[in-house]
Amino acid sequence: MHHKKTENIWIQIGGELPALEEISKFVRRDHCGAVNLFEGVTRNHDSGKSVTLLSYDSYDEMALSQCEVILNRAMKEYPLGAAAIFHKTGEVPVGEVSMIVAVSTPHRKESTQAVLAIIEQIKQDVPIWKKEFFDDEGEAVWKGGEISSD
Amino acid sequence: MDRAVKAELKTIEAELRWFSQLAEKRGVRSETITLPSGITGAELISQLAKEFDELNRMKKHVRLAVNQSYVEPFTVIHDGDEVAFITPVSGG
Repeated sequence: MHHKKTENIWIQIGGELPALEEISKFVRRDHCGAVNLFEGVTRNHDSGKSVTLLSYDSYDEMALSQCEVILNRAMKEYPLGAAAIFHKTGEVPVGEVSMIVAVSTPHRKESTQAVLAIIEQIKQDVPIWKKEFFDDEGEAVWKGGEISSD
Repeated sequence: MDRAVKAELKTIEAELRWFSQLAEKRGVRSETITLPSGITGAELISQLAKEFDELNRMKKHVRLAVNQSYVEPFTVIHDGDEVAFITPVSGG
Protein backbone atom coordinates (compact mmCIF):
# COMPACT_ATOMS: atom_id res chain seq x y z
CA MET A 1 0.00 0.00 0.00
CA HIS A 2 1.29 3.45 -0.96
CA HIS A 3 -0.08 6.56 0.66
CA LYS A 4 0.51 10.22 1.28
CA LYS A 5 -1.25 12.42 3.77
CA THR A 6 -0.63 16.13 4.23
CA GLU A 7 -2.77 18.83 5.82
CA ASN A 8 -4.99 19.14 2.73
CA ILE A 9 -4.35 16.08 0.61
CA TRP A 10 -4.81 12.37 1.32
CA ILE A 11 -3.99 9.72 -1.28
CA GLN A 12 -3.89 5.94 -0.94
CA ILE A 13 -3.18 3.32 -3.60
CA GLY A 14 -3.89 -0.27 -2.55
CA GLY A 15 -4.84 -1.51 0.89
CA GLU A 16 -8.25 -1.26 2.53
CA LEU A 17 -10.34 1.84 1.93
CA PRO A 18 -10.80 4.07 4.97
CA ALA A 19 -14.32 4.50 6.34
CA LEU A 20 -16.34 7.22 4.59
CA GLU A 21 -16.82 9.03 7.90
CA GLU A 22 -13.07 9.21 8.36
CA ILE A 23 -12.63 10.60 4.83
CA SER A 24 -15.45 13.09 5.32
CA LYS A 25 -13.88 14.32 8.55
CA PHE A 26 -10.52 14.75 6.82
CA VAL A 27 -11.86 16.96 4.02
CA ARG A 28 -14.31 18.97 6.14
CA ARG A 29 -13.34 22.61 6.69
CA ASP A 30 -15.16 25.36 8.58
CA HIS A 31 -15.27 27.59 5.50
CA CYS A 32 -16.58 24.79 3.24
CA GLY A 33 -20.33 24.24 2.99
CA ALA A 34 -20.02 21.26 0.63
CA VAL A 35 -18.38 17.89 1.12
CA ASN A 36 -18.63 15.69 -1.95
CA LEU A 37 -17.74 11.99 -1.75
CA PHE A 38 -17.74 9.84 -4.88
CA GLU A 39 -17.55 6.04 -4.80
CA GLY A 40 -16.69 4.02 -7.88
CA VAL A 41 -18.34 0.60 -7.55
CA THR A 42 -17.91 -2.59 -9.59
CA ARG A 43 -21.10 -3.01 -11.63
CA ASN A 44 -22.40 -6.32 -12.92
CA HIS A 45 -22.33 -5.52 -16.62
CA ASP A 46 -20.20 -3.84 -19.28
CA SER A 47 -20.86 -3.58 -23.03
CA GLY A 48 -23.70 -6.11 -22.78
CA LYS A 49 -21.70 -8.74 -20.89
CA SER A 50 -22.23 -9.92 -17.32
CA VAL A 51 -19.27 -8.93 -15.14
CA THR A 52 -18.49 -10.90 -11.99
CA LEU A 53 -15.23 -9.35 -10.86
CA LEU A 54 -12.71 -6.64 -11.59
CA SER A 55 -9.04 -7.06 -10.82
CA TYR A 56 -6.85 -3.96 -10.69
CA ASP A 57 -3.16 -3.78 -11.48
CA SER A 58 -1.25 -0.66 -10.54
CA TYR A 59 2.11 1.02 -10.88
CA ASP A 60 1.72 2.03 -7.25
CA GLU A 61 4.53 4.55 -6.89
CA MET A 62 3.60 6.44 -10.05
CA ALA A 63 -0.14 6.15 -9.38
CA LEU A 64 0.49 7.92 -6.09
CA SER A 65 2.59 10.67 -7.68
CA GLN A 66 0.10 11.15 -10.53
CA CYS A 67 -2.77 11.46 -8.04
CA GLU A 68 -0.73 14.09 -6.23
CA VAL A 69 -0.23 16.01 -9.50
CA ILE A 70 -3.99 15.82 -10.15
CA LEU A 71 -4.95 17.04 -6.68
CA ASN A 72 -2.38 19.84 -6.71
CA ARG A 73 -3.77 20.97 -10.07
CA ALA A 74 -7.32 20.75 -8.74
CA MET A 75 -6.29 22.85 -5.75
CA LYS A 76 -5.29 25.64 -8.16
CA GLU A 77 -8.36 25.33 -10.38
CA TYR A 78 -11.06 24.95 -7.71
CA PRO A 79 -11.52 26.49 -4.27
CA LEU A 80 -10.85 23.20 -2.49
CA GLY A 81 -10.57 23.07 1.27
CA ALA A 82 -9.12 19.56 1.06
CA ALA A 83 -9.18 16.63 -1.34
CA ALA A 84 -8.56 12.91 -1.29
CA ILE A 85 -8.23 9.94 -3.66
CA PHE A 86 -8.31 6.26 -2.64
CA HIS A 87 -8.00 3.40 -5.09
CA LYS A 88 -8.04 -0.30 -4.34
CA THR A 89 -5.85 -2.76 -6.20
CA GLY A 90 -6.35 -6.48 -6.69
CA GLU A 91 -9.80 -8.05 -6.81
CA VAL A 92 -12.97 -5.97 -6.40
CA PRO A 93 -16.17 -8.05 -6.76
CA VAL A 94 -19.52 -6.68 -7.98
CA GLY A 95 -21.04 -4.22 -5.52
CA GLU A 96 -17.76 -3.34 -3.82
CA VAL A 97 -16.02 0.03 -3.94
CA SER A 98 -12.84 0.38 -6.01
CA MET A 99 -12.27 4.12 -5.76
CA ILE A 100 -13.24 7.06 -3.60
CA VAL A 101 -12.74 10.72 -4.48
CA ALA A 102 -13.57 13.33 -1.85
CA VAL A 103 -13.42 17.13 -1.81
CA SER A 104 -14.68 20.04 0.20
CA THR A 105 -15.50 23.47 -1.24
CA PRO A 106 -17.33 26.58 -0.01
CA HIS A 107 -20.32 25.90 -2.31
CA ARG A 108 -21.97 22.79 -3.79
CA LYS A 109 -21.56 23.46 -7.52
CA GLU A 110 -17.77 23.67 -7.50
CA SER A 111 -17.52 20.54 -5.36
CA THR A 112 -19.30 18.52 -8.05
CA GLN A 113 -17.24 20.11 -10.82
CA ALA A 114 -14.01 19.38 -8.96
CA VAL A 115 -14.91 15.74 -8.30
CA LEU A 116 -15.80 15.17 -11.96
CA ALA A 117 -12.58 16.83 -13.14
CA ILE A 118 -10.48 14.75 -10.73
CA ILE A 119 -12.16 11.50 -11.85
CA GLU A 120 -11.64 12.33 -15.55
CA GLN A 121 -7.94 12.96 -14.92
CA ILE A 122 -7.59 9.73 -12.93
CA LYS A 123 -9.11 7.81 -15.85
CA GLN A 124 -6.73 9.52 -18.25
CA ASP A 125 -3.37 9.57 -16.46
CA VAL A 126 -3.15 7.38 -13.36
CA PRO A 127 -1.39 4.08 -14.16
CA ILE A 128 -4.03 1.69 -12.88
CA TRP A 129 -5.62 -0.97 -15.08
CA LYS A 130 -8.74 -3.07 -14.63
CA LYS A 131 -9.24 -6.60 -15.86
CA GLU A 132 -12.83 -7.68 -16.36
CA PHE A 133 -13.99 -11.21 -15.56
CA PHE A 134 -17.29 -12.42 -17.03
CA ASP A 135 -19.79 -15.07 -15.95
CA ASP A 136 -19.94 -16.76 -19.37
CA GLU A 137 -16.50 -18.25 -18.84
CA GLY A 138 -15.20 -16.13 -21.70
CA GLU A 139 -11.66 -14.89 -21.45
CA ALA A 140 -11.04 -12.05 -19.01
CA VAL A 141 -9.93 -8.83 -20.70
CA TRP A 142 -7.83 -5.85 -19.74
CA LYS A 143 -10.03 -2.79 -20.18
CA GLY A 144 -8.32 -0.44 -22.64
CA GLY A 145 -6.06 -3.20 -23.92
CA GLU A 146 -8.37 -4.45 -26.67
CA ILE A 147 -6.96 -1.94 -29.12
CA SER A 148 -5.73 -3.28 -32.43
CA SER A 149 -2.26 -2.49 -33.72
CA ASP A 150 -3.72 -0.31 -36.52
CA MET B 1 30.02 6.74 -10.41
CA ASP B 2 31.80 9.90 -11.54
CA ARG B 3 29.83 11.81 -14.19
CA ALA B 4 32.85 12.08 -16.53
CA VAL B 5 33.41 8.34 -16.29
CA LYS B 6 29.74 7.63 -17.03
CA ALA B 7 29.86 9.85 -20.11
CA GLU B 8 32.47 7.51 -21.51
CA LEU B 9 30.19 4.50 -21.20
CA LYS B 10 29.01 2.97 -24.44
CA THR B 11 26.14 1.20 -22.75
CA ILE B 12 23.71 1.91 -19.96
CA GLU B 13 21.53 -0.22 -17.72
CA ALA B 14 17.85 0.53 -17.24
CA GLU B 15 15.12 -1.15 -15.22
CA LEU B 16 12.04 -1.95 -17.27
CA ARG B 17 8.64 -2.12 -15.52
CA TRP B 18 5.70 -4.02 -17.03
CA PHE B 19 2.04 -3.90 -16.04
CA SER B 20 -1.38 -5.25 -17.05
CA GLN B 21 -1.37 -7.28 -20.27
CA LEU B 22 2.27 -6.45 -21.01
CA ALA B 23 3.33 -7.98 -17.66
CA GLU B 24 1.17 -11.04 -18.30
CA LYS B 25 2.64 -11.63 -21.73
CA ARG B 26 6.20 -10.75 -20.69
CA GLY B 27 6.04 -13.09 -17.71
CA VAL B 28 7.86 -10.63 -15.45
CA ARG B 29 6.98 -7.29 -13.88
CA SER B 30 10.49 -5.88 -13.96
CA GLU B 31 13.84 -6.65 -15.57
CA THR B 32 17.20 -4.97 -15.98
CA ILE B 33 18.38 -4.46 -19.54
CA THR B 34 21.61 -3.21 -21.11
CA LEU B 35 21.07 -0.60 -23.81
CA PRO B 36 23.21 1.53 -26.09
CA SER B 37 24.07 4.90 -24.60
CA GLY B 38 21.89 7.69 -26.01
CA ILE B 39 18.90 5.50 -26.86
CA THR B 40 15.56 7.32 -26.86
CA GLY B 41 12.26 6.05 -25.53
CA ALA B 42 10.86 5.57 -29.04
CA GLU B 43 13.94 3.64 -30.09
CA LEU B 44 13.65 1.46 -27.00
CA ILE B 45 10.03 0.60 -27.81
CA SER B 46 10.94 -0.21 -31.43
CA GLN B 47 13.82 -2.42 -30.32
CA LEU B 48 11.76 -4.36 -27.77
CA ALA B 49 8.73 -4.65 -30.08
CA LYS B 50 10.81 -6.73 -32.49
CA GLU B 51 10.85 -9.63 -30.03
CA PHE B 52 7.77 -8.86 -27.90
CA ASP B 53 4.55 -9.32 -29.87
CA GLU B 54 2.20 -7.79 -27.30
CA LEU B 55 4.30 -4.62 -27.14
CA ASN B 56 4.37 -4.57 -30.95
CA ARG B 57 0.56 -4.82 -30.98
CA MET B 58 0.17 -2.02 -28.41
CA LYS B 59 3.13 0.19 -29.29
CA LYS B 60 1.12 3.01 -30.87
CA HIS B 61 -0.87 3.32 -27.67
CA VAL B 62 1.93 2.95 -25.12
CA ARG B 63 3.06 5.97 -23.15
CA LEU B 64 6.50 5.89 -21.60
CA ALA B 65 7.25 6.87 -18.05
CA VAL B 66 10.80 7.44 -16.87
CA ASN B 67 11.40 7.50 -13.16
CA GLN B 68 7.63 7.62 -12.60
CA SER B 69 6.86 10.62 -14.84
CA TYR B 70 5.41 10.58 -18.34
CA VAL B 71 7.99 11.57 -20.96
CA GLU B 72 8.00 12.33 -24.68
CA PRO B 73 9.16 9.59 -27.09
CA PHE B 74 12.36 11.49 -27.95
CA THR B 75 13.50 11.47 -24.32
CA VAL B 76 16.94 9.92 -23.90
CA ILE B 77 17.14 7.03 -21.44
CA HIS B 78 19.96 7.34 -18.93
CA ASP B 79 21.91 4.83 -16.87
CA GLY B 80 19.89 3.73 -13.85
CA ASP B 81 16.54 4.99 -15.20
CA GLU B 82 13.32 3.16 -14.40
CA VAL B 83 11.33 2.88 -17.62
CA ALA B 84 7.66 1.88 -17.56
CA PHE B 85 5.43 1.04 -20.52
CA ILE B 86 1.99 2.46 -19.84
CA THR B 87 -0.80 0.94 -21.93
CA PRO B 88 -4.13 2.85 -21.94
CA VAL B 89 -5.09 3.16 -18.29
CA SER B 90 -8.50 2.12 -16.96
CA GLY B 91 -8.65 2.97 -13.27
CA GLY B 92 -11.75 4.13 -11.47
